[in-house]
Formats: sequence, C-alpha cells, structure tokens
Amino acid sequence: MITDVVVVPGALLLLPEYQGRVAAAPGLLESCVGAVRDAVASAHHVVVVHGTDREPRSARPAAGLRVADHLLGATHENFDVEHVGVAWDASVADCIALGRAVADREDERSGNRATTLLVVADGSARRTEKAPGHFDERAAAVDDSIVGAVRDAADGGLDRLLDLDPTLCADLLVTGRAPLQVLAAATGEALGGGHEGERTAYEVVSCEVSDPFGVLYVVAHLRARA
Amino acid sequence: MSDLTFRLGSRSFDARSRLVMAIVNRTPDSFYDKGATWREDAAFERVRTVVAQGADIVDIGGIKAAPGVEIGPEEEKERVVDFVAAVRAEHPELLISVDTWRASVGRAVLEAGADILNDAWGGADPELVEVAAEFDAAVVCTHTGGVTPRTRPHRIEYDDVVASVVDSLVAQADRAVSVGVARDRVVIDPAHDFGKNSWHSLEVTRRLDELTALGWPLLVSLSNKDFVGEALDLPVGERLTGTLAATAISAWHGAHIYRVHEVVETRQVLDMVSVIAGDLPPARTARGLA
Repeated sequence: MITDVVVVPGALLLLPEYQGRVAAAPGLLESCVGAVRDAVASAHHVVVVHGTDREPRSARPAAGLRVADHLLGATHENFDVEHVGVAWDASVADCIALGRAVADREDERSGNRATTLLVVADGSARRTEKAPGHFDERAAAVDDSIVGAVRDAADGGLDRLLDLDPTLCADLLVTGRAPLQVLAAATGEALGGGHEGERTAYEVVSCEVSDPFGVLYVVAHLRARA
Repeated sequence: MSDLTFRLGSRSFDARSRLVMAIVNRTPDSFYDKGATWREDAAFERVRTVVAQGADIVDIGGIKAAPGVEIGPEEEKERVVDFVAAVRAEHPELLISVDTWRASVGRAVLEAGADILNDAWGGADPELVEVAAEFDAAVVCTHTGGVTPRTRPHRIEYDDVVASVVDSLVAQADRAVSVGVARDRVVIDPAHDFGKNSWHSLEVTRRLDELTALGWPLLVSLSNKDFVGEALDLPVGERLTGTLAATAISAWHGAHIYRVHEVVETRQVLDMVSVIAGDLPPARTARGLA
C-alpha cells in the first residue's frame, strides 16, 4: 500500500549540475532530501510521479524525473523505483486513469510491501513580477487551493486537487497540476482494495511552502494513518 | 588542463588558481599611490583593507621601481622588516611577499616571517635565490632584459621579446632550483614595462600562453602600467579599465598570480574568467532554473 506520499518541486536548480558556489535557494535542497528520506525510510518500493517538460528542448529525461532520481539517490536507501510520467497538460480524466492504475498495481502487490509515492509538482510560476512567467493575479488563489488541499490531506483534502482546472493551470504555469491529480487519484477511492468508499487517510508529517523565485514550491510529507 | 601545482608559504595551488597579490608600498614616492601608505599606520590599514577585499598575497616594497633617491640596504630594511613582522603577527595566514632585489634584505624579511621574495629586477643580486633556498621560501624570477635596477628602458630592442623572456626566465628558474629552491616554489614573471617598451609588453601579453606553457606558475604585474596608458593614451589614475582588460586576457592565457593596486575589481575579473573557463562554478544560479 501507499504508506507515504512526498511532494517536492521540480526545479532544475536542485540538480547538482546547476549548483553554484552557494545554493540559489538556501535550504530548499536540504528540505527536499529530508522529506524524501523520511518518506522512504521504510519503503520497499517508490513510485515517482512526474510531469513532462512544458518546453522540451533536449533529449534528456524530464526535469521532474531527474530531480526525483537525484533526491532518491541522496537518501542512500535501497528500494525499487518505478517512474510514472504524465503529460504536463494531460486531461483530468487521463490523470485519474493513471492514478488509478498506480493504485491497482499497489493492490496487486503482495500484502505488506510499503510504497512511497514521490510526486514532483510545482505551483504557479507566475506569482511575482520577477517570476518566470511574470505576475498573474490569479496565481495566488490557485496556489492557495493546492497548498490547502495538501494541508487538509487528513480530511480528504487531496480529492480537491482533482478540481484544478487544466486550462487555468496551463495559463498560470502550474506545471504540477497533472502529477498532483495523479496523486489524488492514486490515494483516493481506488485505494483500500479498490472498494468504493474505502480510503486511506493521510496525516501531514511536514509541509513547507516557499516561492523564492516567484514559483510555488511545496515540500510535503504525508503518511497513511495506521 | 595542466597538472601544475605550486606552493606559497604553507598553501598549495594548482593550474586553475588565480591569485590576487595586493601591492603595499612602504615608499613615499611610488608612481601610483604617491606615498599614500608611506606612514606605517596607513600601510597597516592598506593590508587590512586588501585582506578584507580578498587578496591572497600582499607584496610589500620599500623602494619604488623608477629612478630616484638612492635607498641603501639598511634604509630598505628599516622600511620593510619590522613592518613584515607586524603584518605576520596580525595576519598569521596571509601570504607575504617582499619586493626586493637585495639578498641582505631578503634574509631579513624571511626571518621576519615573509613567504615570498619578489625579485623584480631579474636576478640582479645572484645571492637572493640562495637566501630563498635557505629559508624554503618562494621566489619570483623576472625578465628585465638585464637592465640595472631602477633604470628605465631606453631604446632597447629584441629580435623576439618573448624568446628573450622565455630564455631568461627558464635560466633563472633553473638556477633557483639548482641552488636549492623547491621547484614548486619558483614563480616566473615577464615583468611588463621592465626593460621593455609598450610594444614589447603588449606582445608579451598577447603571447602569454607561451609562458604558461613553460610549466612554472606565472605572475603578471600589469596594474596601471605605462603599456596600458600608452595603449589607451591615458594617464596614471585612468588606467583601471585597461588594466582589467589585460588582466582578463592574461587570465584566459592561464596566468596564476596578479600583482595589483585594485583588489576588488581584479578579484571580480579573475572570478569571471574562472567561471567562463569552467574552473570555478558561478556564485549562485537561478535564471531559467527555478
């Protein structure tokens, strides 16, 4: 079962090849590694959910995938890793289908194997004048809804991620919308053996929010209630 | 990338090192500062300032390079020896160089705690390197074309100035090693403007890679010199931009030590070249990466 969920940003500045002499966002990498390390501490299996790049220019794997692999590597733990890529602009229906497929595979796994879902997802990149996408006054409300949904995970808040509007999120450069909706579907009603109405409640172990460059970063660790 | 390594004092450096050597004059009449650090308290303050600005080395000199009033060895010692001891006491980690051609002065400053003898007059006193060897100090060998200390070049011509520089510096470096200076404590300096007209100094700058290829750590002393002034037709006091351009070219050619008046600007230029060359990561990068 999915015992832990960890949400991290997909910022390229987290990758070692882009490190300057001092960190561009002091403490961000450490927060991400700490949250991932806690979330995978007892995991046998890690499912990485990441979006595709919004503006691909190279043959490299998606930034989100590379960030996830870097963070997992930094934990020095051993587990199986499965990558689930979702188009950054996938429809909600496609995200739900992908999330349910993840949940179904978990159901098929033998009993007590602990799985961590590592979700690479950012909020809007249009939060300030200096933000990559310049300022959009609608960004704050959408980001607040994302942060609120994660913080209310214990009360089913993750379901609200499915309400994020793909068109609005695309306008606001919320590149994490699709991975977050896969997360909502994977941890929603499809869990608990796939029985409608049975769900696993997640408690918020930690949730840090920042936007040092006008992009919403969420670093959150959720753990299934025993 | 060259596998060059060199040592100054207790510190080790490699081919990618770009070090700032700040000039500290204990003179009343040097061309650039015109005695600004002649008083001891002003000289101390200059040392504190350049250390705070990121200088790796201070180069303390008691006699200006240009012709002028004769300064004997005892007076030169009075100007620099106690000062070196005091700087050493206040800055235990700082690399201290002394600009002198005299072995007797060299001995006294090494006893006082200096790390480097900057022989700016091309081995005029052959015993200087022997003193360096005795103290396991570093020594800077310079090309002057064999002129007498504190004389200006007058109608000197070379068939190939860089060849003359190479021949002289290699001979001096080899001799330093032969008398016992550690091979990784020998630095070479083509000595811009010394025994050279501006055409010579410009050619040396243009072909500086031929000197870095020799396998010795390379010092350049470009700061506000006449070759910069004549290149741009600018007087002393207006040569910083030209100096920094020459600094950047020298850094790209791989010079290791930069003897300068302006530390902050030089440090920025050297760091920028190091970053462009890939020898140093950028300070902090977020553009397009957030």
